[in-house]
Amino acid sequence: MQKILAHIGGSRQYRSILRHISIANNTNINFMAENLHSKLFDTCYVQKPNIILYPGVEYTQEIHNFIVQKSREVQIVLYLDRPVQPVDLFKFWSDAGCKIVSYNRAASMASDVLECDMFYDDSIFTIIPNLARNCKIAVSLSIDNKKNHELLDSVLYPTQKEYNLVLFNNPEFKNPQNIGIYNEPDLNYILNTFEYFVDVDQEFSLEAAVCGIKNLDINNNTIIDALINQQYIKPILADKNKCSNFVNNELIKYMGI
Amino acid sequence: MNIGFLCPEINQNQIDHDILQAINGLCENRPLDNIVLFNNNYNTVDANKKYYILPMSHSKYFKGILFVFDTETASMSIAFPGPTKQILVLKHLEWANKHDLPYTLWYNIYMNSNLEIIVSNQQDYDLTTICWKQPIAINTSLTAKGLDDVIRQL
Repeated sequence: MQKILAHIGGSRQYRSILRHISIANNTNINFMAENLHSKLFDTCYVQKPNIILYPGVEYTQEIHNFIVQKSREVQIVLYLDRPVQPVDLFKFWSDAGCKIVSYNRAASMASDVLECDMFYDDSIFTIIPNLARNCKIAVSLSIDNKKNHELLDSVLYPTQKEYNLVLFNNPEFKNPQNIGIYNEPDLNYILNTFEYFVDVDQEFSLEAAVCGIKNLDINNNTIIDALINQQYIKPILADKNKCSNFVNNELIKYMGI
Repeated sequence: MNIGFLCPEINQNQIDHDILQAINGLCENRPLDNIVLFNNNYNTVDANKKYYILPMSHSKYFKGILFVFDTETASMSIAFPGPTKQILVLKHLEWANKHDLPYTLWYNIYMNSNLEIIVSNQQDYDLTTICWKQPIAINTSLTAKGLDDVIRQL
């Protein structure tokens, strides 16, 4: 029995991985997840895990010291989903025997690394049967309001009354068409009930494809051009894009379970 | 027909005064209907009162049309099993200044098939149509005739 202790936090993809480890049908895993900030040493002393799973995006002096002191007793697995600075850290992690999981080639400089391609959480994103789609456009806003304004100002009410845009997920974007924030199950419902989707930061293309919504390609187009010319983002979905496949077929083996 | 108005508080202000005036007018226009105000806190004087007043708890099993006047009250009343139809009178777009709330909080109220929305101007009408669903009417001010027209549409 391997006891895995994971820090709750990090990116959306990291949390998907935690969710799938927790529901993995593997009797050799005893999985715990909690916020380890400021209590990493205490929790490890009490719980005595075999493996620590930690997101690189929340790498602190505490986890650094932990690796220095405890890496021979506990297997540490770092999840990296964005490039790491300073790059010397890779050598340190390698010397300390840490394992690295790299999302979307974020840690291509490391030597021993488990690469995972872009994936979506297949326990959440799926087609909901018997739901009708409205003829509106759901817009997932960027946290960068300059980007939002550049893209949207010309198509929002009252400038444009023809296109029904409903905006989500940036409380700082002040507009009456901004109707609030969503969590992942809410997003799944949105992707199943709207006709069109505009993803300003382009981070939900797989999820949109799974749910069958028309994801407007705004790379070189305005929203209206993409709508008129029917230019959609259509990624090819494969089994490797499912988070459950990655966790069950690759990650658990990589952690030596 | 049973027509109810759910107003948790009635105070000495113009908005509540207009509501009571409209209810009184409706009582005159529809003398055969049972028109009742559900209220727990009646802090005003209405010398011309023509409606019944019942405690708010009675609205839960009220079999009829129920008017509510803000989204907070609607979020409570939407779960009531009694009313056959609920009508939310929106004085302003309440979601428009609260972008940090989960959208499902609004969705579960405004998109409920048992609820219709009245707005106060054309812009609110357009925005409510874009964001949620088409309101049943535009009533620039709350009047007995406006309420009567809405009831006839149902």
